[in-house]
Amino acid sequence: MSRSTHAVELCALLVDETYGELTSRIFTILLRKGRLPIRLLSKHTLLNARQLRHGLAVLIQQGLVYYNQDSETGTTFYEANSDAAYGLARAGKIIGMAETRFGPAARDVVQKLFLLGNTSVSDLEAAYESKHEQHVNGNAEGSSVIPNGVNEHKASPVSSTGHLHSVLNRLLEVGFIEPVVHSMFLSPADTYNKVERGILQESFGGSTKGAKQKDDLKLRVKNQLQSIRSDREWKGKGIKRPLNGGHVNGVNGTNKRRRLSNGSSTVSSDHLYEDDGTRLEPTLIVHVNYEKCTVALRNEALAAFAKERIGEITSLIYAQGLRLLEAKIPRCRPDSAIDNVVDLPDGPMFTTKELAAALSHNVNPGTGIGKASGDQVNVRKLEKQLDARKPKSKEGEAGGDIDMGDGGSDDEPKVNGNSKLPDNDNDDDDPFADSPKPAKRPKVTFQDRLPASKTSDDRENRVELVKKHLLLLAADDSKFLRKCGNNGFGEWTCDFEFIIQKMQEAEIDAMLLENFGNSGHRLARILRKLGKLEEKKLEEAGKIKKKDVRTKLAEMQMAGLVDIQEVPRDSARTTQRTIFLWFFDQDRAATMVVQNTYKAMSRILQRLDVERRRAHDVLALTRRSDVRDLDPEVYLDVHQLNDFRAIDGKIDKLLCQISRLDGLIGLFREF
Amino acid sequence: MAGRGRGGGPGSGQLKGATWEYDASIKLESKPSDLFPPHPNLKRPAPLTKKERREINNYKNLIDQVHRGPLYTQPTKRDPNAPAKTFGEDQFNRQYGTNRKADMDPFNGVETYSMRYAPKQRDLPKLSDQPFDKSLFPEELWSTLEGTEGQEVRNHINRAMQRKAALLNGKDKDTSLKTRSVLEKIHNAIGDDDNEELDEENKDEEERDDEYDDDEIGDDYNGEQYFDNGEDEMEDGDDGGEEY
Repeated sequence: MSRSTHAVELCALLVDETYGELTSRIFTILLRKGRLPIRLLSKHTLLNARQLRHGLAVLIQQGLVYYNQDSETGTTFYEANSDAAYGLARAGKIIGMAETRFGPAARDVVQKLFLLGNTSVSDLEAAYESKHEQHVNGNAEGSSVIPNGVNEHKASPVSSTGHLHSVLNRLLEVGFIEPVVHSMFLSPADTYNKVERGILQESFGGSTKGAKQKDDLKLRVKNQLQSIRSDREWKGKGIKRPLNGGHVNGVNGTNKRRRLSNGSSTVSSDHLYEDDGTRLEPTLIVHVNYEKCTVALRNEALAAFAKERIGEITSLIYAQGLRLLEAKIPRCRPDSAIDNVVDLPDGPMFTTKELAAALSHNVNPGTGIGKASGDQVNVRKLEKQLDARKPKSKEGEAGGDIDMGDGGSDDEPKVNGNSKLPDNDNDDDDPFADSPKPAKRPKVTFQDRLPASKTSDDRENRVELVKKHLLLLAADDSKFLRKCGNNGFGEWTCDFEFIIQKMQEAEIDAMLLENFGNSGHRLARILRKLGKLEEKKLEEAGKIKKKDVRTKLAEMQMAGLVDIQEVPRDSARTTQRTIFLWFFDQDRAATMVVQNTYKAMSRILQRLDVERRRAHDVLALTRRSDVRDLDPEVYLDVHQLNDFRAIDGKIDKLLCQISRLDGLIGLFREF
Repeated sequence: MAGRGRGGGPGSGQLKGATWEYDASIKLESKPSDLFPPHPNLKRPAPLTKKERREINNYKNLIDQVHRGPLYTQPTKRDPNAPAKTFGEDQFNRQYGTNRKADMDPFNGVETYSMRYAPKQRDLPKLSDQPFDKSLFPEELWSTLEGTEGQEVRNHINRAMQRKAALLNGKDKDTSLKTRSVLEKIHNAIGDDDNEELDEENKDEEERDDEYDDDEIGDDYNGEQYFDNGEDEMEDGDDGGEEY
């Protein structure tokens, strides 16, 4: 995949930031020049072969470079994997996600995997064992303690080999990490060529004749590629059973199954399941799977969007629903070379019942949907509206006094909070439940329903309540969900493309508003809605003065957001007899946003470097090997500490900006 | 758009509003424009949320670990004030590849006692410190991973050295030219005659290699190695360099 100069610059900077100069020099040349053998690399980088071999070994180990050995000439070609390089910018997010879902042990394991690259299970074990020993000996050199004292974990969260195995197994099941196979080191294009050549030789005798055979060839290549990809996937069930045989009896197995069925929902319950007896093959090599992590990040972004638009509780329920879907979505964007583009009309779906069962019991679906107090609202009318579903949710939104979000405290004892499964009690570490504070005003939620719900079947009521949230999501303008069936109290699916487009629109709108003010924003929206327009029409539609329209449009044209199409009315093509149509191209705007974001990210990385160099004196102190594992407060004097705080704050801000920009890249490029 | 702005003025071939008449009060803007003019619409970013803070800490932690690990190579980048933008490969490459020891800062570069805690600067990743699965790498990198790269060359050189040493020892005992030549012949007969030339070639190669990894230039006083008495040197044999 070719990437723009800004993207290339960014990737090179990211590799430089993470793995140092040698690797980044090689990587930059590979990105710029495409695939190269060592000999040519040496020519372009002016590095000697020994340096190159060392650098390439690191790059391959970290999955940043594809290679392909040409069977005829025996030369090995290396090719940059820019997606993996970009993934480095996301490392923090991915590690954080692993933590929120599976607890500190998973965070530690994922971090180790980032650190070591493609690692076999036995090597991971060894890494942990050596670390334990070091802890016992009190040797702080190699321990994973952060020098800045951000996160004092003296003891490793992974307590035993068994624990490591079960954490790895869980990560494999969710797909955050995947087993490494040989075909992964071939770049997608090489894989395609290889498969195509193989099939050509085998079935077509070297070449194809006519369109029919060509189509046939394409189809076969596609099938083969699909099978190659499915070979890569982690088949937990197939491999686990024979491995389990010795350790685990049926009881433990079922125990595990149950946990897994809602395991994706429960958060940080892992100290209850330190070691579930799963053992992975020691030779299994794993690495972080960026594609799947992107899916999870997309779900997070969608849930955040839902939170913004509707409310916290609804967004939590939505997040859970998406997580159910996540298991069935291996990647965000299907690859046209591999996947069949004609998809089923309904993608993966989940039912209300499943969702209600999987939903964490700290999420109270009874709250979150707004209700005014009884004397303000005609209850009967409202219930009538609730029965008619679609209008209901709109009414719920439009209703004057809406209690969104802050009523949804986690530990609310009032409504339906009873737990039905015992192992679900302490998963309050939800990404969106950062501040579980009780509602400020007296709660009025579902007063009128409460008695009924207590007597009637709890579970069914919960399903009903969850369903209300789902309806609310489906009725939103952004169409968070779509109902596609009636089984299990309703089946739901998510049209990701549509909603991502909506999110992109919202983002571009926000940017327009910021950069071009109210009128620019309005003009762009008019153009988007009505298509290509003449200036006069724009004035009318936008209720803006002619002069203002003109200056604003010119300004936006300079920025590349809107443009003009000329339509001559006669063959003379004179200015007077030409229609000038303004238009606003969403795709173009999106590409521009992506490019600018890449540029901004690389500028930030460069800035980071400059700031670090300026504060080199104090940073060098914190990096000394004798104190780097201590809290800087202990050994720095006041001035140094002030300096350190200042630079640390700056670095934090810059990194935060990078991660926010990365959200944009995700939205516009990858989701 | 084209043509709309033009021709609107009183006379054609003239910019709107601007005339050729002499205006005494006119003042030209001769000041150079600001290098960093204030941004028209600059806002403070929102403060970090808890989640972001956690992610950033994760990231910083990871980067820190990587930098401590064996795979990180230190920047040798020259002039930090040089413009970040480069045009073309030549310029890009020129900014690196400097010899750290040659370009040492005479004011701060001299090692002091307190520097013994400073993290080691590495030009090549230390592959021996990390587990690798050889099968995942192309064959031409295997020797690098195992650290056996250049082993043959080194063996040859070692053998040649031994031979020389033996020769010199022999010279001490028996100085006659004849015995020496005989000895030499015997050695040649036992040893690999045809490797002799190869040795020479390889020596050259090795030497050239060593020029790049500057840790290996053996000299009697090396200020850089003041504190580490060479215990964990790069895995290359240093016997190659010493003789020259």
